[in-house]
Amino acid sequence: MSAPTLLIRDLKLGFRSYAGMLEVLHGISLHIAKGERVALVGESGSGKSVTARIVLGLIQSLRSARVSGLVEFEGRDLAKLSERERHALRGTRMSMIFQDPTSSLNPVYTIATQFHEVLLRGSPGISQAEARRRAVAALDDVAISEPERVLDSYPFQLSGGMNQRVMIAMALANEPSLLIADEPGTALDVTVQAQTLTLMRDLTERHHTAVLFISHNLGVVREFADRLYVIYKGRIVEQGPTAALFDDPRHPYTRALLQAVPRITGGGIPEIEDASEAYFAPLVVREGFGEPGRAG
Amino acid sequence: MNRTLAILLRNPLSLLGLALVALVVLSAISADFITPFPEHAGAVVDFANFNKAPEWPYIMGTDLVGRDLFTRIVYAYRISLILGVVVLAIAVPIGVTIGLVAGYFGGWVEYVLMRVTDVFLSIPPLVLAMSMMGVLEPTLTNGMIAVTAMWWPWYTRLVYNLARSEKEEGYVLAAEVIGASKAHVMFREILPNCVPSILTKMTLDLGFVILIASSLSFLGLGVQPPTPDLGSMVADGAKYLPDSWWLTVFPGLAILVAVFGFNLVGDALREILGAEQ
Repeated sequence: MSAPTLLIRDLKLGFRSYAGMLEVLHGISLHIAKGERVALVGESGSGKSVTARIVLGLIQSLRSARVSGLVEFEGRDLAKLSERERHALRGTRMSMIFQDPTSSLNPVYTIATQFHEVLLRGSPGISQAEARRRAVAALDDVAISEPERVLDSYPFQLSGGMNQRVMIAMALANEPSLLIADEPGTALDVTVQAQTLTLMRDLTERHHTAVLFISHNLGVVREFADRLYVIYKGRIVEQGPTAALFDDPRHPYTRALLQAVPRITGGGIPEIEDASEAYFAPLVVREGFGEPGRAG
Repeated sequence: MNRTLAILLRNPLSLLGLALVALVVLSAISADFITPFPEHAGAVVDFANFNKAPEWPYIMGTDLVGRDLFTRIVYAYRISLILGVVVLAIAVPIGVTIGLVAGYFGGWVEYVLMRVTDVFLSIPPLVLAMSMMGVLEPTLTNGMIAVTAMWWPWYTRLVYNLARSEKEEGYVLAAEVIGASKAHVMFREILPNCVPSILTKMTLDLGFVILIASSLSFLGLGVQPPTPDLGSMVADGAKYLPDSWWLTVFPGLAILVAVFGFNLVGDALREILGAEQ
């Protein structure tokens, strides 16, 4: 069996502050096989986004951050790579999509210019014309009907949904093997969110891109992910295939999380305990879904 | 573009500003052709016509050695504009770069750079320029150096604040994520978003640089005779007020026209760039 696209083992993160060390991640482990779509679900502040940033190597360069544990990307230990080698992976082998697509695009450049810059990462020296041709094809893939017009537009002239699709096209333009989606489309309304999710799902399937999908929206996760990790206060509390986890949540926190979703049929906002000793119960792993080659 | 025109036309003050700036700039450029006595810009004496009240062909009168005041004012504009442009051309890149670096890097880099900037800002500008000119020889070049030294911190502070807020924008993070270098993020992502504010401040400042340079030469620390300068003309004429009023009034009005014009254009520019954001 080949190395998984992403392997995180016992990852700890702390921030050094005047008051001493502030532990944010208490040893989380997760893995994503090639082409697999994995979701990381948890409430605000549970450590979802910092995990993504560690994978991209953005946290390690902060002076106050203390990172320990193993992060392997395609079998290579990120901690052993030089800054230069890690830099080379970003934007080519791994890329990222953000919450708010409109602010993720620079307002002073046209889409064409920004697309060119993205493509330059993957194929240095690519010409304007060639970049434009590939951009048109990529925008076509994300169901943008007038790619030429969109390419000559500025981000603020396009709708949020359009920008989101442009972002997806850009993120996949260099054929990365890992796409990190940090709560994509949270800033968009639900119909647009649904469209872009379907698009992203189809595209990543076609390109065999592995996805680390970070979200607090359980409905979205259920539709999108093959496998699910539930994270609570810097600890993974439960993991397993999406369907099984939704049908039969075994960890107290997962159960609370699922109950917390307001029903479309009404019945008021559910009352859930904010914090409970039970939430710190040990990790629940489904049989056969542990890290490959390791017990558990 | 139509919107730009509409804003300009809606506000008569902007039009007045444009007209004044055009008057100043065009007269400075074509000084050799529109002035009746181009040679009077230098060390010429004509005692037969000294200290004359305005009358043809001396439309603004003559100074104490018989030189045409109108000619000298137009040539003084030329010097002032060159000084203003050179000062900004040096001060703005320095100030902008330091501000960008401080705002983007943060941490101790920001601390050191901004505290140094604060030191410069804490000294009253004219006092700083005066002390520099006191040490250096009072020439046009040194005048530029002195005014530049007091001008760049304002751009550092402006761009620093802009960069601080821009770096929180999503596109900065997005650029970092796809592996953009720090220089790329600073100069290609953040800087273009600061350009409207920088441009507006530059236009406003062109007037103020002329004012400060005139203040320096009014105090005898700027451009030296026989080079014509608005500030020193006012200073020379002030001794003969109120009898020879033209010696002071016309150079003074000339300063007013230039500063007022650039200010109005700066305001108009702020409105245009702000509206298009």
